[in-house]
Amino acid sequence: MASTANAKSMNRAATGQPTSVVASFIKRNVEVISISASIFVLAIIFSILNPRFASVENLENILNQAGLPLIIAVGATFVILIGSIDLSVEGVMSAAGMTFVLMTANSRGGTDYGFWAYVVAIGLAAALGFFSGVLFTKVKVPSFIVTLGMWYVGLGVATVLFGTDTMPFLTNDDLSTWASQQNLGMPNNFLLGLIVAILGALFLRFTSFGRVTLAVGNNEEIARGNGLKVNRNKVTVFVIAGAISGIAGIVATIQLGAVNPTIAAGNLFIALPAVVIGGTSLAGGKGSMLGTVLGVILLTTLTNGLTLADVSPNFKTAVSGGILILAIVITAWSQRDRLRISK
Amino acid sequence: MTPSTKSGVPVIALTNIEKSFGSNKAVKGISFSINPGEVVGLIGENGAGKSTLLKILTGMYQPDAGSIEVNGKVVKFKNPRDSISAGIGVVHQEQSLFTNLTVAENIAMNSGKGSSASTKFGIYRWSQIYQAAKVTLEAIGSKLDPKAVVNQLGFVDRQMVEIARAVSADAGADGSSLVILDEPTSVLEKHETEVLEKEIRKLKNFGAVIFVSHRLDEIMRNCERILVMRDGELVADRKTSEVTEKQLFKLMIGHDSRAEASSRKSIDSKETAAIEVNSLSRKGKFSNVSFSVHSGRLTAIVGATGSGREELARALFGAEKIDSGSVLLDGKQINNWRIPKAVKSGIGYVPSERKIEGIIGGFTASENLTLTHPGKSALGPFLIPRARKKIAQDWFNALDVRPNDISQELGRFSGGNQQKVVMAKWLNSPELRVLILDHPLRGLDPGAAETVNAEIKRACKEGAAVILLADTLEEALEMGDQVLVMRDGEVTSSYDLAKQNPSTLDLLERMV
Amino acid sequence: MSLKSILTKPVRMIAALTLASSLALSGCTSTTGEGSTAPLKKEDLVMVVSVINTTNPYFAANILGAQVLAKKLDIPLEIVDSQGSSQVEISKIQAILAKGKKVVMFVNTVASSDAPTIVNDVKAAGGFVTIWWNKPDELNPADIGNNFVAFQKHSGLESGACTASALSDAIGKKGGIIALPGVQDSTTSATRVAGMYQELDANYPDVTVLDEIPSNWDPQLAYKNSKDLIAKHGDKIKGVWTADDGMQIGAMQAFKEAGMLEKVKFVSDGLYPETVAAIKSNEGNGAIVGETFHRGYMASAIGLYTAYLAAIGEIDPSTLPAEKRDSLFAISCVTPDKIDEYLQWDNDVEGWVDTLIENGPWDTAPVPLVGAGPEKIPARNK
Repeated sequence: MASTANAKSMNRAATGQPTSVVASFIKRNVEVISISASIFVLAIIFSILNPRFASVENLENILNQAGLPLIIAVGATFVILIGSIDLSVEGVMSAAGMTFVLMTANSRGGTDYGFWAYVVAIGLAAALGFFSGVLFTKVKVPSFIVTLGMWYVGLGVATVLFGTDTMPFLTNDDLSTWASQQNLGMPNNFLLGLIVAILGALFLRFTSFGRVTLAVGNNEEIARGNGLKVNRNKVTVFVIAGAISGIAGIVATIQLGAVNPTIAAGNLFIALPAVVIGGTSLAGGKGSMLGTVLGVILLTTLTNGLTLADVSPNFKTAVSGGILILAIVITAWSQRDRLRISK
Repeated sequence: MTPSTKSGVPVIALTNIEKSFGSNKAVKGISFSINPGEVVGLIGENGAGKSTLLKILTGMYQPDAGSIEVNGKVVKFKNPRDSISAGIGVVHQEQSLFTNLTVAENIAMNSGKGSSASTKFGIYRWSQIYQAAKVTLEAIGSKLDPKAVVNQLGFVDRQMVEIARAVSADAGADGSSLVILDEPTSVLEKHETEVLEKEIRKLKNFGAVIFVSHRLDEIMRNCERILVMRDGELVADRKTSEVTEKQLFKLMIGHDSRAEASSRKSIDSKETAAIEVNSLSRKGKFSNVSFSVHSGRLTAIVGATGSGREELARALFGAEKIDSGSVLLDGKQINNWRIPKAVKSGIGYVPSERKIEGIIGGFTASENLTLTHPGKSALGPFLIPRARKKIAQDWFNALDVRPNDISQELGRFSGGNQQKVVMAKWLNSPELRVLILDHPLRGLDPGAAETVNAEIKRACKEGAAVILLADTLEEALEMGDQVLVMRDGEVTSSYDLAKQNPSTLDLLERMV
Repeated sequence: MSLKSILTKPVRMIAALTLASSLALSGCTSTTGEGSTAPLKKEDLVMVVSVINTTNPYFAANILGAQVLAKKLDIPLEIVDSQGSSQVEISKIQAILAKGKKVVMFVNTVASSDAPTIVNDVKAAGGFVTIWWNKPDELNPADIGNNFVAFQKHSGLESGACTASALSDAIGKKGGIIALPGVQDSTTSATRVAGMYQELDANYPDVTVLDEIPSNWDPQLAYKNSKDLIAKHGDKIKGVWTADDGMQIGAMQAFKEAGMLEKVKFVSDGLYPETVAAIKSNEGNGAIVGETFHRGYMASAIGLYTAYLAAIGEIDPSTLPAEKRDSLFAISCVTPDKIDEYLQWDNDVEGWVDTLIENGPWDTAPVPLVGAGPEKIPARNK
């Protein structure tokens, strides 16, 4: 009976009409489709309000501005996939950015360590991520508390390194204009963000680490029961997120051509909503890098468009908040449950 | 996976295994061994220590004393991984699949070792993972698509994935593997169970099987030998051919079955029905459903998966929308049906998804019990803890909830005892008019099932109209005054058991 | 310094709050309405400099000025790092007051609304305080009493007018400019913006402000907003006005990336060391065309010295004229060719402080007292 019923439904699926193929494609990719549609609609509205919005220059500008949040968002996606949250991003970015600039040719003098500046800065960021991960898994402090603390640790490191001297500038002009130079028709920093996102997607799809991350996010207890190394996976996720924050910190300093301890301020709160809008569940276990990329582009388009559309600064914050909520509702309506946080 | 070559060596042998939690001895000196190719039943009431024993076998708990041998070698499981790599696979009572991943991955995830064949330096080789899953699925006779994502599968299919995963646990080169089926049928419909039982018989080929179930008939059908646990001890180890179901029952709970024949009332047609349903429809779920239940009577609804009876039950409780049709309570039509209104009107609902819908795990048992109908434990908006405790304690005594501790968090009780508390939550209402029970016996041991059934009958006798979605056709026929059969969202037939006496086969015919 | 940085902010906040609450309890008994006005002995005094953060060059200079003055007067100095938070600021100040010494205090308030709490606390503890830059207009030092010695600042209107004029002249008195104010509700930023408009309206009718986007004193945000504005207005932008040098750094980076640095002129307020370096290296072929000169060490030394004079009874605040209670100090317009004239002060901070002690707080070049506050933001009639 049930077997017959099942067989019936299986047959239906197997002999599916072309329409059902389309339907199932839409169903599987509902978020990607709805978020792309949102971007499209926003773009049309903004282009009507100001034709310069759709100019090549401005599109490049949007991608250029999306680069940094995109890098951060990829790291955040990993962390959110295991049902945790990493608030330390800005502090870690500051520490890494400060380390990087001080180890590169800069206006304060000092030695230029070249390649090692990158290694040490990213290594420091990864180490901060490692501490977050270990405290989170071993001491069992909720991730948002651990990482909130790590935010200030990172900021503290950056402040100590900064000292009371003047703001260090990158003296190498090739480096300080790298972010906006173009390759393959895209600004370098967006290209880097895209590479990080593609690597992230490949990791998620094709490595045991990635699959275990999804499994842990889906159900930690079951993952333990299946003999998966849950703690090791979680620590690895935080190390990767830390390292990515480190890369972001370097990119932020290169963009500005200089560094101060608050260089990263405000970045986290573009990246986190972008990840969620992109379809990653705050409860963990569900999400995609493609969604994250689109989420970042959506939010960047939004802030850029509002500036170009001559929205008064007094209203801009409120308007962008309102549109953000609308975007979340549109893209997430079918998946409302993922906004539920269980821990 | 290879069938045993050393037939003399037991797949698993336990010697004097003990485990305590605080002062509570959960497992007291258990010893037994199982040979290759054997299917052994393990039964016991909730709280008899079965779960603890299984957790020891799967490496979740470490025993305080005693030793475990697998294929003749002494083993110590520090974690589930050790158990899996020793060749022990489990099909869990509560399904334990990653719902966001594919069938193939769920099978491959079982062990670091098992997946190593399909990964190289941590890189996934999807084609091999799909291939390996296909082989395992074929070995157990399943035609599931390895690429399907689990959250799109039904219960039976998920159970098959669990079995495939259990079977894929890697045995040693010369050893046999052990598959533990922890109440695999408790969440299944009867006919689904039959499908599953066929699979269980095939599992012998992979090694040995421990089959845990509350349904004694199932145990008798499928096992050659039966282990009975009570209060943490192994009270019997019998060949199936040497015992009867009654004897087993007695061994399990320590006394005879109290089951009694139910007497059926016929309806006084002049009396207004407690609940009357007219042409109720919800698109894609059920359509044109009409029936009525009088005070003091029990209507059982049976149907296969997809028959729409669960949705109907939820709709009657206001948890799901109704597209058309009407519901009358005591003759009065109700509109804008929502849960709060339903509760206020005296409708109680015991959901099948107990953990999700039925209880608040972090609340104490007494808080859960008085949540909906505080009775005398509330004075206006104020709660009176002492009165609440008294009410809860009375129910605990009446329903024999174990452990008898009303201030423990409800989430920590076993399933059967949770169900008793959920029942009590509704029964505590003096105005209970209609009680809707969605698989109330799901996952309950016979002792607990008996208590719950007795409570259902008592509520009925005291004037509630009961709508029961039974687990089995036998249950429906035993409990009901009336049986409705549903198929594809429609009522295909209705039997008044005071006048008619349908067989399970009659019901089945109308279900499919 | 290092220990402070190792401790995380919440830890420090909790510590400070604990102290503050114990103070509040003990403070109840000793508080009187009038506060103390009797002259204090120098050895009972402690000097306090409270800044918004320690990494901004302006605030670092605030600390420097306090250090030099404290050394000259031989009074111990305590530094309050508010870490950009009003809560941190107030709780740390309360913790210092709770120690019982009489304070001579300079506060660069995080927000205007912090000022009433701080001056009342200082009054209750019998100390003397000068507030710099931010206070509510209705908070008048004379209404509080002698313990709130003075409120002091440089004119924002003048700063805005000064830079607007330099920018307009550099772009040939016509064309479009963009403006990047600081935090939107900051009086300092608002007065500078108003001064800019006032100057443009009065003397440069052909210079138009294409867009004005608050950038929160944040270089990164200024960078991002500049990028948007470049995309929006392109070559129409001839000049960039920013409310401080930090944001100018971000704006210049954006224009540099767009290849427009040499075509666009920049002005701003503060003449930070970074800006000096950019001017000296002729960044963007003379991209920076105007700055204002005022110094953090001058502000803190003036403020602290005024409070000190009141504390030891040298001056009686209640008898001072209005402009010495709510004061505007001079601000200098600097064009690149004249920066060395002004930078000489930076090379001899000690000498400048000596002159201050000699001349008194209101009469030291290049920042003599020039007027009375509060500074009203004029309505634009255009």
